Amino acid sequence: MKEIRGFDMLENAKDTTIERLSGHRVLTDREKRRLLDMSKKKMNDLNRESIIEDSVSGVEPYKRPKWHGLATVAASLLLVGGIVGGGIYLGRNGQVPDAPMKDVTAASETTAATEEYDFSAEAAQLEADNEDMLRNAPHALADRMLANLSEYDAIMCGTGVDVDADITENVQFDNMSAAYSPVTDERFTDMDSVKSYFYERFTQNFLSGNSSPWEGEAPMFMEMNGRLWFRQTARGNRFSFSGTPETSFDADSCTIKADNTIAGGEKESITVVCKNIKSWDNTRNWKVDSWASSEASLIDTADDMMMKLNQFVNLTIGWGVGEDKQVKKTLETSSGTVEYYRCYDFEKPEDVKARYREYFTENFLSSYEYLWNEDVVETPIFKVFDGKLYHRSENIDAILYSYTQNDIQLESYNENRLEFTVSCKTADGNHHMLDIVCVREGGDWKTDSYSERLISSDMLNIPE
Amino acid sequence: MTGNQYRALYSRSPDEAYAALFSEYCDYVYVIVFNRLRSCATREDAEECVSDIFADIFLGCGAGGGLVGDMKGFVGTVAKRRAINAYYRLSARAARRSDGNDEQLAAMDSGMDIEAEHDSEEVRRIILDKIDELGEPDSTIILQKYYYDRSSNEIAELLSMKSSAVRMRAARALGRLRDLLADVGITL
Repeated sequence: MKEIRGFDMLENAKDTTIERLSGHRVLTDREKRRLLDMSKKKMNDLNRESIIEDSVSGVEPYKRPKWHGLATVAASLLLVGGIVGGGIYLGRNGQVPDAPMKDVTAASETTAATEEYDFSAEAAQLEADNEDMLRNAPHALADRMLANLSEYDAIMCGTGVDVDADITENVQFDNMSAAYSPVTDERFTDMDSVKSYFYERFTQNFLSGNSSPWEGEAPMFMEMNGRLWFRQTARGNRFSFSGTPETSFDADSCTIKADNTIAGGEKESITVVCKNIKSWDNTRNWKVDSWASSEASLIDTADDMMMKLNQFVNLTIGWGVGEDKQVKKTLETSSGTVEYYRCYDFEKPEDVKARYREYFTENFLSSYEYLWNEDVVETPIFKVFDGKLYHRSENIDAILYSYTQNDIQLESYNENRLEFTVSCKTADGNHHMLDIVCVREGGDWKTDSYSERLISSDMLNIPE
Repeated sequence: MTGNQYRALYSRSPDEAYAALFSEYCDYVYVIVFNRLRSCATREDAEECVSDIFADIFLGCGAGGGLVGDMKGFVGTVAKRRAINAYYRLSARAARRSDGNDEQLAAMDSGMDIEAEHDSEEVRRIILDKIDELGEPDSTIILQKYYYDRSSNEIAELLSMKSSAVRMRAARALGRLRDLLADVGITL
C-alpha cells in the first residue's frame, strides 16, 4: 500500500482511534455489496463443511475398549517410574552429561519456535504444496483455467445455462430491449448463486464493471418477479482452445499461452493470467484474472478497427453511401440550397446508426448525431423527405487514410481495452498520426474514440 | 444493533439479518482489519479478511439465541482476533519472501513499549483532531487518499463527487492539514 509518512502513525492503533476512524465513511456501496456476498458465500461453505464433518463423525460411534484404560494406567506408572529413577541417577552423579542436555535445550527451543511461528510454518507448507501441484500438473491447471474462461464466454454469449425456453419476457432498457427466459439450471438458483459461481472462478479484477454477467445494460442474468432470468441472445463464442497450452508460473500467478479459434475460423494466440488467491484461513484458489490477445492478433484487430474508421470518416462527409442520382430533393436553407439524393443503402436514419453500432461504441456515435438528427443541425447528411431517406455529400474529396500494418503501433492493451496509433498519409500528401482507443463490449471490439494529429504536410510545406 | 433486534430480523429472514448486521458494522470491521494489516497486506487480503470475519460472525450468531445487548463488542472481538492472525500469517509470508529477513520476523513479536505506545496514541489523537478540523468532505478525502490509499475515482464514487473535485480538494486539504499540524509541532 502507498505510504505517506505521518499517516503510518495511525496504524495498529487502540480502540479510541479505531472508533474515530470508523466514524468516517470507508467503503462504497458497491464494495459493501461485494463484501457481503463474499461473506455469505464463505459462511455457506463453512456451514457445508461442518455438516459434512458432523455426518462423518456420526456414522460410527467410537467405543474405547476397557483394557485401553488399564494399559494407559500401566504406561503412566512406567513413565513416572522412569522420571523418578532418572532423577535419582542424575542426582547421584552430581552433573548432567553434556550431550543429552544440549539435545533437550535444542528440542525445547524448536518447540517454542514452532509454536511462535505456527502460522508461518502452515503458510510455508501451503505454498510448497501449491508449487508441487504446479510442477506436477501445470497443464491440468491450465486446462482448468481455460475451461473456466470458455464457460464464462459461453454464458456471455447466451449459451451454457439451462432455461425454460417456452417462457420469454422482453425487457426494455434505456437504449435497447432484450429477451429473457427463466433459469432452470441447478447451479444458478438466484443472483447470489450466480455471483458465488463466478467469484469462485474469476478474480474481482476480472469481474469488475461490465465484464460480469450480472452488470451492464441488459445483463446476462437478472432477477424479476422473484425468479432468476437468463438473457436469450445468440452470439458466436469468442474462445475455442486447441493444442497444448504453454504455462509459466510461480506460487502466486500463472501465465497461460493458448491457441484460440474465434467463431468464424480466425485463429489467434491469447495469453491468460491467473492468480492464486489465498484467503488467510487455508483456502487457496486459482482464478482467472485477465486475458488478452497476443500482439499479432491485436494488430489484426487494430487493422479491422482502422478499416471501419476509414469507412465511418467518409460517412461523416457523405461519401461511400449508395444513392440514386435520379431522385433528388432540394432543401432551401438560410445559407443556400442543399441537394439530397435518394439513399438506397438505408431505409431510415436509425439504420445508419445501427450498422455502425457493431464497430463503434454508443459514446463514439453520440458525437455524430449531426449525421442523422435533424434536431441537431439543419442539414444532416441523412434526412427524411416524405417518409423516405435521402442523403447528401459535402463538397470535398473523400478521405482515405493510407497505411500498412507496419504503421500500427500498439500503445497499451488488456482484455477490455486497446489503445494504438496509426501513422498514415492522405491523398493530399499530409502525414497524420491517429490515436485510437477501442474497448471490448459484449465480446466485440469497438472504437470508442479517435483523434488525429498532423505530422507533416506537402501542401502547407510543413516538414516531417 | 442489539441481540434482540438481530433475532427479530433473523426470524423474518436470515438474509435480512445478515444484511443489517453487515451494514451496521462493515466500516467498523474494515477499519480494524485495515489498521492492523495496512503495512503487510494488499487490499484484496484485507477484503478477504473482512469477509472471513463476517462469515465467522454470521455463523457464530446463528439465529441470535444467547445474544444480549449491543453486538459491537462481539463483532469487534472477532474482528481483532482474525485481523491479528491474518497479520502474523501475512507478515510471515512477507518475511519468507524476503529471504528470511530477521528484522521483519523480530518485529512480528516485538514486545510493547508502553511509554512509546502512549505517546503514539497521543499523536494519533492530535492527527485525527486536526483531520476532523478540516470538516467534511475534506476529512474523509484525506483519510481515503493518504491512509486508505484510494484513488480519486474511488473517493469520488464514495462521496458522489467528481474525481477532478476530489483531486483539487485533496491537494488543498493536505496543505491545510500540514499547517494545522505544524501549529502543534507535528511535521507531516
